[in-house]
Amino acid sequence: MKLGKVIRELDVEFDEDLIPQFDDVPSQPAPRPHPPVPTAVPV
Amino acid sequence: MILGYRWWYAAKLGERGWYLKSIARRPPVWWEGPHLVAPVAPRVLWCDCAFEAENERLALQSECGIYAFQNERRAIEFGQVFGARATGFAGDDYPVRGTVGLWGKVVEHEDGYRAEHAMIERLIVPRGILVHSAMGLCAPEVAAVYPASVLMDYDALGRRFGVEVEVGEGIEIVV
Repeated sequence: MKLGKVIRELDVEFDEDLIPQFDDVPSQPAPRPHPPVPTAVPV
Repeated sequence: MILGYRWWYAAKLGERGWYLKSIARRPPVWWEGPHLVAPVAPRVLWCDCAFEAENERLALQSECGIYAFQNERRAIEFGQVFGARATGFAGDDYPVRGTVGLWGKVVEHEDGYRAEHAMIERLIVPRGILVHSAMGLCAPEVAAVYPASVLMDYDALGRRFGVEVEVGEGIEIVV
């Protein structure tokens, strides 16, 4: 997956408003963790 | 938070059900829920280890971050070069695209981002996969359409990742 030239490094805040609401999801959604959640999951 | 666009493979992990896994990383990274954290925050230093890491140790310790394109068009273009791994043939991985919210340390590139955190916002399953052969092969899977509705459990995928899975345009893959 080629992303091209690096432009800059950013520090981006988590924004809860951009997380979708699940009222309209017909089935039980998976619980969404409230980040940051430290894990050792690889990328 | 920044929005990014990317692909995964949806695959059934034995009795545990449907999961998403990375398409470029070797070995693949399995997304077990909507939120993924890179083990090490990405750095500006260019890295292409998604393709070049030859062993698990390198892959796990890399500073690549979680990849996403900056717009949907670019992600869809990338979907045309999957190749034979993503034919959707029964038992294979099935390509799924979507939107992720990115935050934390983020390295911005011309065409996308490498991020420390990613949260799945949207999942779109191509309605079907039409397989073409670039060399005129006549294998049974060539020129066939593999419908996602037959091969995948949308509801199970949606429950795991906390989104309503959408069905999108079919895609064509050249093998």
